[in-house]
Amino acid sequence: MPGKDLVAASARPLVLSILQRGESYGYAILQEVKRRSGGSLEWTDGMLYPVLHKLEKQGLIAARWDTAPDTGRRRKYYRLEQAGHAALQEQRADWLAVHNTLADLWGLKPCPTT
Amino acid sequence: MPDDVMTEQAITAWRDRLSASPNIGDQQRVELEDHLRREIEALQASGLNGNEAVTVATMRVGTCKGLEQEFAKVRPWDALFYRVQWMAVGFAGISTLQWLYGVFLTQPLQLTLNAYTAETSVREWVIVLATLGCLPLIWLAVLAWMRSRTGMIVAGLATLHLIAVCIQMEYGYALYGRIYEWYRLQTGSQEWSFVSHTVYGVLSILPESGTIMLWTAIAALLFWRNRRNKCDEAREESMGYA
Repeated sequence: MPGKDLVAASARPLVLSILQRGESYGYAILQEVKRRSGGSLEWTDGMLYPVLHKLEKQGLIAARWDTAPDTGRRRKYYRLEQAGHAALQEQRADWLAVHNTLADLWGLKPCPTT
Repeated sequence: MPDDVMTEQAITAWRDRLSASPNIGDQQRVELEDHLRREIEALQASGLNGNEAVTVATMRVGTCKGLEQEFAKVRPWDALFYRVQWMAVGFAGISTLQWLYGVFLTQPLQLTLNAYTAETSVREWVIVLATLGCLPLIWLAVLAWMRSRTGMIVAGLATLHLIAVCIQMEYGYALYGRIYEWYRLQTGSQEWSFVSHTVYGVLSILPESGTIMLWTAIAALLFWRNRRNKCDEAREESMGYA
């Protein structure tokens, strides 16, 4: 299971990648991370929101309040902004560079970088 | 007690604990509460009862202290301003108490001691202890008990302030005396007139009054700033975006 530092570092690209697929909200983002990582990425639920708010403050994502169709409660929805798309491309290049370096060292097949 | 009622009570208690945090605003609290409720609903759907679901869900969302630390990373200045706001309130309060104590108790005490004591040093000690003594210390103890870290910072500042007051008592009045002499030379007055009394009086209370006004102004400014932030948040939320 990845350590705390790695989990924290991966939060940003993971959130941006999920939001690239469409508008979402905190709980759903967390469920998506759990599902896609097969439970190996253990996020504290509360850790996600400061990450979202930081990305929002940086203008990479935008938010709006709406009524949740399933519960009728107020809910904050996030979507990726133009700057977020560009940031995601940078993150993708960085993470693939790390991944491919390690893959090369371990004799594994590297990932395509585009 | 029905399961739903217990669950609601537990959520309310959790929300109240979160409300006490200066780093977590109203919007963040609503967002976290929605998350908590979703988590509880999912756990109840998987077979847990209300009490168990609330316990597990609150653990997953994180403790109030943990959440506070995480949110402080995003808005570190807000947390700092909130602390300074209460420090300013505490400090203005201490200064006011000291001022009132000095005005209303020191002079009668001094007159009483003048009447019954010939020992100047003993009299001065009693006045210093009475002026700087119990009331501000009780205030500090209450602050320290209520908000440990902020209270301790206030206590530290108040200690510096008390040292400043002691220095003022030692050297300040001599300075006022010189200023008064200068005033008498300028006006040519040889008597303590109403005006000279007033000038001397204003100069005597200037440091204390200045301290009170300064810290009250800082506290008022921060209250206004924090209130404006909350109003902005509420307006943005009502308009549908954040």
